[in-house]
Amino acid sequence: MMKKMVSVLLTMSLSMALIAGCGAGGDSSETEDAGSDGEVVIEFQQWFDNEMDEGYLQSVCDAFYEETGIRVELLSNPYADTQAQMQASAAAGTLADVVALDGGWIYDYATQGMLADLGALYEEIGFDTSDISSQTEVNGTVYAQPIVNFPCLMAVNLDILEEAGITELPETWSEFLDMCIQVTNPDENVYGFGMNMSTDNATCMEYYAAFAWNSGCSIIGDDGKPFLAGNEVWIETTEFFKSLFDNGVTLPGMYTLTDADKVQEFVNGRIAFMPDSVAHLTNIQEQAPEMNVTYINMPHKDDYDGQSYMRANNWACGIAENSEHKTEAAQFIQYLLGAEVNADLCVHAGGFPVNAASEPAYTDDSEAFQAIQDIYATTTGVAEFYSFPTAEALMRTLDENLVMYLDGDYATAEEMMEVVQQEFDAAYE
Amino acid sequence: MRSKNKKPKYPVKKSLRRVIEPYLFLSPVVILMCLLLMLPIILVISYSFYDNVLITNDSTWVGLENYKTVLTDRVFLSSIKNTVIFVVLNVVFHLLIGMALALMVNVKCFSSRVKAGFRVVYMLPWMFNATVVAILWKLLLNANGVVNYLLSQFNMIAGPVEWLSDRSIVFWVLTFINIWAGYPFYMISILAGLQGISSDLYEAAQIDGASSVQSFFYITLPQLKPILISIAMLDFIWTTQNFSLIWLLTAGGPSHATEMMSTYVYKTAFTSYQYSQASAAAVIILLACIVLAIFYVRNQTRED
Repeated sequence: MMKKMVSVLLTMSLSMALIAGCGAGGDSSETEDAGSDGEVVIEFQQWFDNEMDEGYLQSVCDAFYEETGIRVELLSNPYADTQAQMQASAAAGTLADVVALDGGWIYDYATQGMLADLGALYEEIGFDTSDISSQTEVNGTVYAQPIVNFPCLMAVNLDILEEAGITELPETWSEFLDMCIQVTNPDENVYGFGMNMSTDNATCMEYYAAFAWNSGCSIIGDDGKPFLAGNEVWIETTEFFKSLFDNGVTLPGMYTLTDADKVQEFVNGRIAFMPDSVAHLTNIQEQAPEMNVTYINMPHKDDYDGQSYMRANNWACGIAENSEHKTEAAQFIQYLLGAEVNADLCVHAGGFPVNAASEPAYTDDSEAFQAIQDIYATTTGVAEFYSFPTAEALMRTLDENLVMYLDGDYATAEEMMEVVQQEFDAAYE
Repeated sequence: MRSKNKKPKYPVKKSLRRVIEPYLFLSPVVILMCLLLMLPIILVISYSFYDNVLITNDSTWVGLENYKTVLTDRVFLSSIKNTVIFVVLNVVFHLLIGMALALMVNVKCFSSRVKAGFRVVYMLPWMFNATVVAILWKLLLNANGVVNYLLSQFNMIAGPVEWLSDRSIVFWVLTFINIWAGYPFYMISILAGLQGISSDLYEAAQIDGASSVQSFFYITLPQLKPILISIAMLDFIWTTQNFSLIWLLTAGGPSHATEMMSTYVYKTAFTSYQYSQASAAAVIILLACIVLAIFYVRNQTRED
């Protein structure tokens, strides 16, 4: 009898605990928002922590706490999980105070009302942004603040070039194609050009677009909307891209090649030229220490002699509209952009500062890193896709149609771009 | 003889407690199932009838509009076609390969040690998770990989075959990989069934002069029928929902060549932010799975 009573009581208490446990989730932010002694605690959801030395980002947060008394709790996830988790928490109204943002998400998150107006918050805390080189705006309002820049350039395996007797680096499309033809040797599994085209991360289309951007092309029309069909340089870029395939200088299997696969192929000495984020330089140096590597900007159209442009990528941050501590969150972003902190962040992340007054003490004195610094100093960053709604989905559409054009499903690049333009325009409806 | 005025064994109060008691024991599981299973399903179904869910606070009721949009999208229709072919081929080949291997490792002419060795080898694909399977086959099928090397050594190919990038073959390659990854489940289930068939049946058939083929069709298959139906239905449901392997190998590409309903839902939700349409597509998958689940449950109930 006693046993029976105990089991019934246990069952009831377990059920109650279950209900209480599920119900408690909604209150968790309240307990986190104010520490036991009334101190403010803000959450910072990001993937940066996983990509830097273990414990480094926590040490930055600790230093911020020492200075301001505001505690920052890190919510670290791999990049691949961050977007889905942010969407889920935004839907539940529990988005972290400070959130890391990829360029492709900003437009949509801003228009969905997930992000706060940073300009107004900067004004409120008296943050002078005159040294800050870039801010991301949507419809004239600043919603995202880049923290560290990562230029995307063309990595070059100098050993392959040397073996083919090439001593100069290509600057124009013709020179690039010629060199790719010279170095390509399928019997030895060596190809001129290798780029990721898998739709698992359609931002790869920015590498293809960078051939056009560095030729002075813009894919944003006067009305601020996509301008693809009828865009002469853009069409020529597409035709040039196809010529790489037609001449057999591209790595086989590029259509489903992922970013990681591409770097692996480069490290294995199978690609001479690889468009890539410079964030991978450390990986390349670690995995192929004997390889002679350098970086060039993407080759431009033969007759172009204007300003140089490169694909720009960055780690950016925004502040959640639902945050109860927006000013504290803005103070944290201001701290990350401080000349010294920003310089130190760049050294640890292998990127470039957003604060023009920062002077990172890079320890990498390799020729490749020197080349990156030289290009970065003289080239303007471009990230035009990110001003479009559902940027990632649109880039995926471009990728899918580009594959069809390369396979001959479209007779001309113009025909393909007409279709892509319609799909891009549909995103505004 | 029973007495009409016999007192109840327990007083009414006690009897009521006895009625409630089993429900109390069940309550933790029931609550968990409601919270973790029913609630998400109900939410997804309700999202499919609204517009702009999750991304705005003022979602509006649009009725069947999302279903109309999804069912007229040529990519979704092609993903349905791909999924159906993919699932049917997988189930059929899983069944055939699983049956063949189970019969092989069940023969009496091998020692138990040899049979155990074969079982381990045949089971290997099922030990690997989707990530390992994807990496393994990506390396094997790389243009510079082992498969192309061997084929070129035997002069079977003129140049490197782009197994995962050629739109004309990638779907079949993906199907092959999923068949490879999934047959051991059938093999083990069928093997367990084979070992449960009484040897008396085979001995009686042998005395009656039945050939081994006749024994297979008139004893083995009928005896295995309940197991075969159960695992085939489970496989139908699992393969319909397969996402990880497809995403890791081709992400539905190139140019939708391997687009399945699962990858379509993911892309619609997480890159186009069309959660309502993704919910509608997910509900369509759910309906297909429910139909199969009903068959499965009915089959199980009949067995019981």
